[in-house]
Amino acid sequence: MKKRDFILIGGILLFALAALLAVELSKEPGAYVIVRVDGEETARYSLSQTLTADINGGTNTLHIESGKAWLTQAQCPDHLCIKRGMIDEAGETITCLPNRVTVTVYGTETGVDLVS
Amino acid sequence: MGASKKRGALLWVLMSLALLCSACSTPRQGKEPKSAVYYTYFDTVSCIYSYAEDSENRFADNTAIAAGVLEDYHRLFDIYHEYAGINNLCTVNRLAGGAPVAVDQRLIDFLRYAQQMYEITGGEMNIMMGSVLKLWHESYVRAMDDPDMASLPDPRAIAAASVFTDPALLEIDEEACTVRITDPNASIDVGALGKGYATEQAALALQDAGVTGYVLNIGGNIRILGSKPDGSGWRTGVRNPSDPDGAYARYLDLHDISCVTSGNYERYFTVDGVRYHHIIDSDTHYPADYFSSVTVLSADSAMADALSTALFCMPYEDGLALAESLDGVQVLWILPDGRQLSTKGMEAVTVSP
Repeated sequence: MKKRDFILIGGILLFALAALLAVELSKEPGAYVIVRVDGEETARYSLSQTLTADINGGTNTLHIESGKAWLTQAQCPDHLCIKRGMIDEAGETITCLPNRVTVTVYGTETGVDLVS
Repeated sequence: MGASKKRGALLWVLMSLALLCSACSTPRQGKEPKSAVYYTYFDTVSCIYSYAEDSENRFADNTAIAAGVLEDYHRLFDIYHEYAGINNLCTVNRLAGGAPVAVDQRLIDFLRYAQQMYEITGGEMNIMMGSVLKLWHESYVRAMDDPDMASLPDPRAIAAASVFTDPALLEIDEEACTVRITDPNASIDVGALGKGYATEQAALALQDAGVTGYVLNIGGNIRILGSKPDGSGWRTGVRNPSDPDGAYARYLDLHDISCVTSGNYERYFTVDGVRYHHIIDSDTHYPADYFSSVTVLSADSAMADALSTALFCMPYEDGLALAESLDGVQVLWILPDGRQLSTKGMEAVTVSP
């Protein structure tokens, strides 16, 4: 291999690293979650708190801590929503289909006060 | 060698750009508003928000004012249940074809307002559509119970029901404070107006109490009182009808105004792959298909609610003429192909994402 090949490979590696870094840095940390039942918003909670809340009248229990949200209890056959684990990035969603519950993380960057 | 140097330079430029982009996207830091949520009114979720520096007690007092008004109108407008001690729209519907029904003055005022709206919208906002809407509602409920069994209302039943949608079938006696539906087949349905009217009444009650910096969001019927404490507007995202959970179609900066959107994505059922949504055109008695959504701004939430439905059910040219004939009404129409049309004032409050 010639010297310029090394330069090229090194350059590509550096670029990949920088791109990775850019993606990692621009990942928007979530600011709050919106709980929806049957598609209707029933609650929104800031991720900057520690909280345990029953949602949908107790079919699921949401826990928020250290900027992450997850479900700790669910009255559904498969418990897929609990297995989904923690979510903390804008756009991530936990779904509990049997109970028609979703929990979605929203960030503040393009955040809005209201939705019409 | 020269070529690889150039290549190297290009890579560095790209890398710097990537880093620069990531630096721009620092999230805005915002304070969470105080909020109160109710599940009991108008079969929807009602939220009251405030960024005001009120104490918790003050916030609770203010939300109680609004909730009290919503509760009253919820009972008066309920067409599925009656309540002890009051005659509501359910009572009026049940006694259709019979004697006049004594009702609360607030119901008289509302029904008068609905009649005015009928005139203003050229008949597109008609609360006497109950007989037709009942059939669509039954189809919707059936489809929700079992999507495989979803079916359209019988066209003959729709044609038969449509005979009983004349607003003249509602008689209002303001002096006696009674109302009467003259035909037993006719009925009132205030789905297109009731929420907006109740929201406006709740907002007026808050205004009377000197409250500002609050927002009522009654099932998507938004009514803003004042600005945020720092004087900035409430940043409002208008849903993209083709992806209601995705990026917003438009961002609005709103002060002291009501914003209501009617959309074909809100409530619908599917038969043979075709979507049938809940906004029924009073001319065709079928779901209107001019637009995917219509957003209306007006100081008055009842007006915004009525117009969002009415404009959804008429061609753009007619809707534009109607909007321009009214004071302080701004409109955003989103067409099925995603194109957006809007009045000038709507452009003025549009902000960048």
